[in-house]
Amino acid sequence: MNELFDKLILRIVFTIFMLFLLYLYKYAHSFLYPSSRQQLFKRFFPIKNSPDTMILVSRILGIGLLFSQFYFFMSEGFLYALLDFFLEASIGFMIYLTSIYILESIVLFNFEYQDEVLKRKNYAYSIISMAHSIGFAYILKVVLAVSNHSVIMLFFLWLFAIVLIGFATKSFGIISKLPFNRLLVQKNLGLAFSYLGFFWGWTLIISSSINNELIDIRWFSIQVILKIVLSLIIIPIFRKGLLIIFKFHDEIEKEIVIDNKPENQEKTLGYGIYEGSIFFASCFLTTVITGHINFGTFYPVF
Amino acid sequence: MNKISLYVLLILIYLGLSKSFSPSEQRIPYIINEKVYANFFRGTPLSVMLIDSFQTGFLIKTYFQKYKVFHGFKSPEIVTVRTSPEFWNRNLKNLGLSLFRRYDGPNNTSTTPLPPGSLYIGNLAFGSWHYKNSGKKVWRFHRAYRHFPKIFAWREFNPSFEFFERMKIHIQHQQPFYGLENEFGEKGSVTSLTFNNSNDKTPEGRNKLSKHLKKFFHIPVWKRTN
Repeated sequence: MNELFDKLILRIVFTIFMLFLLYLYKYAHSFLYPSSRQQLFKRFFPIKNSPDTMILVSRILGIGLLFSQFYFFMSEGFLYALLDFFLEASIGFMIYLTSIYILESIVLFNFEYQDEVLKRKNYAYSIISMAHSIGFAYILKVVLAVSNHSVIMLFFLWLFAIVLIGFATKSFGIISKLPFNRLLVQKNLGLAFSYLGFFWGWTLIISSSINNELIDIRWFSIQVILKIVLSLIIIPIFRKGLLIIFKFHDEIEKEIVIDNKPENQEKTLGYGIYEGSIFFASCFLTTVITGHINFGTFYPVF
Repeated sequence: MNKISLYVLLILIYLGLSKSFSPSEQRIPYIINEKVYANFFRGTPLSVMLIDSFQTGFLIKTYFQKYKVFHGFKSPEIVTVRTSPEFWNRNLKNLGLSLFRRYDGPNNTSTTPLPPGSLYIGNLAFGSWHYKNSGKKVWRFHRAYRHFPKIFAWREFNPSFEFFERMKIHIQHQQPFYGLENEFGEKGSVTSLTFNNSNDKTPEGRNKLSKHLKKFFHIPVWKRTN
């Protein structure tokens, strides 16, 4: 009984420690995003500005996702367990915030957080920001797992992941029929949902490609590149297959996209949801093909 | 059109990269036919016995042969090679046979499929002919090589002088020889006792499906007993 009680106390201590780290995260956040300093240190009213709430909550969700990767190893003692967790978590959320900063600089370089969220209450901007926060947290969670406590490997894998996702975001213009900047200015939710599906789809592909055992760097790099190339081959097959099976009409008139009338907004919303969902579903199914086929001795290696 | 070209390019890049780094492509030697044996297998005396033929792949097959290589004075080694479909098919019936031998002396190689150990039968450096009580003349290895029949998986088989004579005729005409009573080869009475042909499509496979489907009806135990 003593032991069980002791374990429970320990778990509560760890919970408080994680909350303490989340508190530290606030400072890290205000360091990288000086414009949101007031937002974090003053009392926050979720009902006042829902797009802002969405951004803040998605970042907390991202940090939660990141922390879910960590473990406490008690075999070397309580303090060592706390120290390990503290170091990994601190590096983790610094990298996480830097990544979001870089991503938003790549994707939302034409837009300002203060203008779009605090002044204009642009939901589309918030949804896109949410996609980045949660999506990259998922990738970083995999990167942390693969780097296996090595800070050097964590740094290089993170750089690799950020390059991949950077290139991936640039392909939105090729894949989607919705013009990004024009519709984001118009607060178009269709665009936001399309981008959400697109970004989370790429998140799945990249995290599944990185998720290999890192024994030697050469073989790991080959596997990651091969998996990404394979995914690029498989995604169009799934996408085309879904369009044929469910008879989707994959066309939207240019006038509907450009014109900001309320009836057109509804049409672009439908198209955006369709586009995002189909891409996300295709990526999800692709990860099964690229990662979940175990050939075993089907092709023996001698 | 541009999209199709890009897609084809992606497939080619994937296949090219995979081929460059695939372990099976890099490590496994390729033997197109029997003409390559002389350069591939080194040393003398040497005998190469086919011990298995199998294929991998779903639509596009890769063909493999597994050999047991007998060097006269050291332990045999197992070598797996990729091969051409024609050569693979041609040698299916030659399971358990020696496909290549190298003797001492001029014109010293032979690729006629013969029973294993044929390289040493009749060579007085390795054994001699003896008369059995029945009057039959049979081959017996010297004391130093008494383990050879076991290596060649002869079991109870004992080559007779008649066997030897017939074998020489087959070598002369370059015709495969499976023994006087078809003891060797895919369906040979001696070979089938020792080697399992991976390519054998016997009805045993039918039971495999019911065994495989059992996992869908598996229920874990309520309580584990130590």
